[in-house]
Amino acid sequence: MNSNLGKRQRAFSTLILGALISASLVSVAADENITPAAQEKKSAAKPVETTPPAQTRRPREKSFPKIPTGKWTGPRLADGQPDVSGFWSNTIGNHGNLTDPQGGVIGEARRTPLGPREQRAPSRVSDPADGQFPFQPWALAKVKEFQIGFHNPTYPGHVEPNARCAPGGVPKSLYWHGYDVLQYPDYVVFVFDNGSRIIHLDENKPHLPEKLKLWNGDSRGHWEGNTLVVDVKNHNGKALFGRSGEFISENGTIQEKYIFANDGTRYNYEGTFTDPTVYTRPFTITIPAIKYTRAEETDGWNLEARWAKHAGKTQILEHDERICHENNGGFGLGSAQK
Amino acid sequence: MKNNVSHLKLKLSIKSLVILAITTVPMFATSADDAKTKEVKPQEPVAAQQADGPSYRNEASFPKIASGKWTGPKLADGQPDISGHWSNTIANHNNFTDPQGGIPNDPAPRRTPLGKREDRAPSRVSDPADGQVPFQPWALEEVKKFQVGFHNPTEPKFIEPLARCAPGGVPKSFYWHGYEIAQYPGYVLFVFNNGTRIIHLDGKPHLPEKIKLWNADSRGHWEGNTLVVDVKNHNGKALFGRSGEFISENGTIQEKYIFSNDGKRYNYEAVFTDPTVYTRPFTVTIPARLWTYEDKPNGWHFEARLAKHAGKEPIVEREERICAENNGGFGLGARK
Repeated sequence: MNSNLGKRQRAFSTLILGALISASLVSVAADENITPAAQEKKSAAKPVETTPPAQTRRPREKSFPKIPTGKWTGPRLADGQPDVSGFWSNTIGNHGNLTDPQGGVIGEARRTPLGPREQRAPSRVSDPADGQFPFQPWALAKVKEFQIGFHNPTYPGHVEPNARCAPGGVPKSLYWHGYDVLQYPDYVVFVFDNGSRIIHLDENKPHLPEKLKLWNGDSRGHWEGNTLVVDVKNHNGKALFGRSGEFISENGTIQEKYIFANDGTRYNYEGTFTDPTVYTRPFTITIPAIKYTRAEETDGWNLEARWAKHAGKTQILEHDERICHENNGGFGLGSAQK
Repeated sequence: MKNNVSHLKLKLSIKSLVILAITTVPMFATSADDAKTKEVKPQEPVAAQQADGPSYRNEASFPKIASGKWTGPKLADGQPDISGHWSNTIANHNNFTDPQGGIPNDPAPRRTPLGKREDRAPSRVSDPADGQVPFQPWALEEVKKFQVGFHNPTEPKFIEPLARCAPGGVPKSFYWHGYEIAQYPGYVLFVFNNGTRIIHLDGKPHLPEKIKLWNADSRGHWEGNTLVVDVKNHNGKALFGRSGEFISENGTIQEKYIFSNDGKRYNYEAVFTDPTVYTRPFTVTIPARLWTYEDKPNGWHFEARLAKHAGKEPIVEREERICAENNGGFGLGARK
């Protein structure tokens, strides 16, 4: 009986590994503070032949500048939007842990001691001041269950959604691999590693009907100077914010501000999450991001792109294909592939 | 004691994960009553423009189509024009060798007796004559284990790949929902419910051996009414259905898509060769039929609508792929 159970435990660890090898990714485990070079070694998926050799990753920031909202003095697109298109990535950590982003996945063994909290990046929760999610008791209990279940799932809800190639949802996609921001008249499009998100800028388009619920919600936005202001509704309640298990329900709304620095190199995401089903009060999540502009900075996580081969002389940075399904594991009865 | 409790919990929970496969997309009744071919539609259509048509009654037999000349319409590039919306005619992926016989070892009781084998559609395996896949012993053992494990998965490999929105692979995609065939100069494109498959017609060589894909790598050409395709570079992850058959990374498939000259049907006849898994090559035959704007959508074989547009000609538009949005078993407080 015990040996059966052991077998299952191994089996489901493998399923979680599917998430890890879903796409080449940064070290997700305990040691967020280890050197970038060591992180490279831990990258689970082998890069495809044409991937340029992974460069040393920029060190994770432990702090980041505030960017004030205000005028946009940078370049604009023909339709008047601030030109913020390009390749972006978060600067402090992945989705391992929301309230201690460089503290490793909760419940995982560490190779090096964690050290004092103040030496690591702050909580993604910037308000309330304690950096904690103001969960209602029932929701906190679910999250605590997840933080244990994640390491040995006995319930589908405890399996990492990325292991099933599900979209990341809001806000996880903003700290799960780098992503591409594209701009069109009346739209801003985020091309994430798993799934895309469209911000509609057309004032005449109302939100989707209430009963349509989506992984990435439904986003309606407008520009105020250097700030993209977005109203998000219609979440499906399935997405998790990260491996620490936080979530928003189908009834929640998010008021987002993407505040861009006028030199175009950074933006801060400041989103106010309101959901009386799950939380006791609204709270704010802050996510710093920087822009990547050179293929040479491709590092298999923050930037997964290369210079496009084309007849012209301009340098075109091209995002790698999405490969979650092709790269995913835990399938097959005699498969040599993982 | 504690272990026993978790054990039970795991059994239950993984069962619900399998159910995901069933709710992944609106689909054909999967369980015991396949021979009766009930259509179920768990999802309300979104802003339906047409009423759904009646259930399609699956065939128990189908005509042979001879390879030969193409006398039907051609596209500008010379390809026979066979583009449109297609589906299999006998069953879904429940059971490869007894397609209307239900899922092997299904614990759900049948609603109607199974009846005689000869009253149901033949095996997908048309050669050898016994209709069985000529597995090597090790592979047969894996398949038998799958047929048990599928109903209560204890390992990831026993979970229905569709529950994770994986592509169907070859040949399952041909009997997993209807699909669209689009044609372009140099390409035939299959737009399946999960994943897309491109048949290259321009003489390009196969991909390098080490690139392995769910839908593999297909190089084809037309011979009269027949699209002849060479398939390699399988990833070995795909299963042929809920009965667990598979081909390895080393396998190849020689496919013939033989179209009837009235453009209404085709038969897929393919020789599967894989010395890693089988003792000899074998042939899979899959009958298919065309659906047009005159047909009503029916939630499985034909999931398409008449497009709203300014012109007068009817344009049939496939419904969006919704596997990830429609999939269940996620979330800590989600309703589904």
